[in-house]
Amino acid sequence: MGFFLVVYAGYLLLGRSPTGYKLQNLWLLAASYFFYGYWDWRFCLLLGTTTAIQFTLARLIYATEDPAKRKALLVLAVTTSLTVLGFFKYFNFFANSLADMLEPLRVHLSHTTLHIILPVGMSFYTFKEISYVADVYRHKQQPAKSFFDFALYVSFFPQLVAGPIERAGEMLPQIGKPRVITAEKFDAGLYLILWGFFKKLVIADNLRTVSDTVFNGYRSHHGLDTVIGIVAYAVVIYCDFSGYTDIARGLARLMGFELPLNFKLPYFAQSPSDFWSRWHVTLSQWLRDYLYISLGGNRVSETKIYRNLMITMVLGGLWHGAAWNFVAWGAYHGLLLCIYRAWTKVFPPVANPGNLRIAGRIALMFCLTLVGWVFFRAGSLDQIVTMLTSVGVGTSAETRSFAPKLLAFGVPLVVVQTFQAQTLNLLIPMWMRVPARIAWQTSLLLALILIGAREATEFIYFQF
Amino acid sequence: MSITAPTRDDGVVELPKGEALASQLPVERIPPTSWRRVALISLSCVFIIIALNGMATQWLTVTVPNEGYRRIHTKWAMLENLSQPVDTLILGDSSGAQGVDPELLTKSFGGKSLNLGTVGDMTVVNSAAMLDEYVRKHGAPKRALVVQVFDVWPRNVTGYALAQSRLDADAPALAWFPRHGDPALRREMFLDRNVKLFSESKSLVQSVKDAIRRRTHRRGTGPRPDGFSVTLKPDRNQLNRDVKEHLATIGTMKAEISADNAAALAHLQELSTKYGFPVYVVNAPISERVLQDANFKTGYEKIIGAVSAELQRLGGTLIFPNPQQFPGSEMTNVDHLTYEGAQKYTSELIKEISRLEKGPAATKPQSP
Repeated sequence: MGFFLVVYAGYLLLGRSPTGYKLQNLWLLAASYFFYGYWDWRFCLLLGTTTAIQFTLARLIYATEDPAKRKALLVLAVTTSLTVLGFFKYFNFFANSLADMLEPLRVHLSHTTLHIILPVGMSFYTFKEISYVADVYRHKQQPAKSFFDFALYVSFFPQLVAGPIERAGEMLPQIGKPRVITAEKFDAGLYLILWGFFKKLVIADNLRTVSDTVFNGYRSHHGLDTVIGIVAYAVVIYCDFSGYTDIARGLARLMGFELPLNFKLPYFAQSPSDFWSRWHVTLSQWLRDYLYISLGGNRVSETKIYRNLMITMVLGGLWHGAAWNFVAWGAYHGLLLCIYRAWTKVFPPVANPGNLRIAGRIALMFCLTLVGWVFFRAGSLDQIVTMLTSVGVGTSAETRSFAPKLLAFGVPLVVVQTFQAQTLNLLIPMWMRVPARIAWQTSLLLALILIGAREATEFIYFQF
Repeated sequence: MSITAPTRDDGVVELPKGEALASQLPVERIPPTSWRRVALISLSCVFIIIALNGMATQWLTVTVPNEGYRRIHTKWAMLENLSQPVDTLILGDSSGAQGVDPELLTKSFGGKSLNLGTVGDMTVVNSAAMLDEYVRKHGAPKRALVVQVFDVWPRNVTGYALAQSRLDADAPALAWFPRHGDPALRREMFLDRNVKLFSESKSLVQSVKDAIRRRTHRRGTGPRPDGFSVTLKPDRNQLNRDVKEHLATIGTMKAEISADNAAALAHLQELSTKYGFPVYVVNAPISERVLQDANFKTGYEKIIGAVSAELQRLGGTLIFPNPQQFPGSEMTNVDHLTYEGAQKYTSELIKEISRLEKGPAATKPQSP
């Protein structure tokens, strides 16, 4: 927060002159590179290099009318981005997997496992760069006028390491003109930051002890303990990731920027496709626009639609990390989407469902999501099978400590989200009357001070 | 808490019951506001938090629910209010506070003895600061004992712990401490003294839980006027839990003396040399059960070996490098003794001190 306060003070000071927004942009760019270089200064070199390459290629694409040349430049841009990402993120994974696959055939592959550190947030900014070049290619987006503007779009520090994956079409216009910080934006920004920290430090980091205990000791936990552990993980990953997004969006709002929503009450989803329009929305939309549609989307035969869904979701899973459990998680969700599509062909959804039916759908989809989280969090196939087969209602001595913790940290979230779902307004607590709002925000602050985790763990999505 | 449901006037479309959940995705609707209202809400929140912090500080000052903190405050108050010099000063952690009986030392060596043992979190830094403070006010004692549990040696002191000493970071008694100007340490001390909602959140949350459950904690009776804490009954459940925890964590412990403790040892030795009185570092008593575990024994011996080597380098003395072991019937946890155990431990300690002081290397006390 100290870093942000310094950056913010400078940002406000620079914004006083009429052309101050240009100075603000440079200031934010410097701050973003400082922020990123704080992890490892070499990351900045990589970020700067890929930014320069994509900026140049996009301009070249825009400058030519020759379709073949345009396509070749697009392929070059995408290949460059994916090669760099692939090398840093997937080299060891594929090298090891190939060696393991050949092992039963008694082919001993002599491979070198490189000590490669994955630069934080690389998956996020690579996708931003690809979407920018692709949009220029599709004539949806004009290339950025200034390299520094584009560099700021790629590296904007609130969203650099874990999204949301903002499109250039939404961000570049904001960079290219003065930002207005209204009382509404400032108020909503502060609230989002507070709510984001509450979700991360109070809910996620406190419940993590439960989910970690169950997942790390999965062989010795059974019945209700396993269920609680999985549900706790569902809450942890949601509060961790959406908490980060809220903080990022709140910080951006304080500076007058608007970043897209990334979470729309995902555990209120009623179907697999509904889930993906609520969970990590900017990634889902990216995969839809640049992968699924490129594969033909829905405008192909029914069989190919299923193929496209599976490819998109498997690659979406792989995007999360170089491990087979993420591939399995993506495949599982792809399968759910395919089954749901086939099901709705035979049994179209009821037009005006009653509350009971809606509750049933939400409960079913939540259970299916929980199964997915086991794939996501597990370290091996054995763990997945063991955990899913040990789900039950049997209790143990540990249940007495797990259950109250899950209830204590989970219930407040459910209550707030039920209000949000009923009113379709994610900022509904901001609509409370002043005294109630003061009480609510003071409670959040008090909880942060009293029971917020002291040694906060890194955000889960930083690793992706 | 009342919620103003968004109306059509607010630009929000009201949906029939059920439909909201059925099909639409939520969005963010920001309510209209003014800078004045934003300031009112934000400042009110901050003001309430400051007020609650003030109340918490007041309450914690009066009740001191943290037993460890109470012991530290009591011992520092004893030192500050001490009107006459003493002959034997017992410093260190709670194992010494509960394990070394000043009455026995007084019987054997004459004069007066005072037990100022606090808690392990204070590390040797607190012992060095207390001795420094004592020497400034009363001159050299005849001897000082610093009783420390083995697992204190690898630890550094936190500002939160040091803040309990009532010393400021730049107090003369801490002038020797290399980290006394460290901003992180000062920040922690500041937080501890001024933001009790944060620094003593565990005590506050526990107190609220106890109040909800209508549970009252039986407070200990506090130490005797000579600073010794008497515990009559062994606590086998606590011992069992402690043994389990010690066996599990020994592997994670570094077999080294922390920088803070090394600096404190050097200062103790400096005071000893400067004022001419012996400072004995005493290895705390320990349950015989943990030392039966080969892995634990190895880890334990490595740490004590490091302490011994450091003291040898500084010209100091370690008493009980081979630890005094006690059965469960004489312990309240893995390194704290009952009154009966304390009598035995103190007797052994007296024998060892007598042997050392009768020897050729004994240092004669001098005035400052």
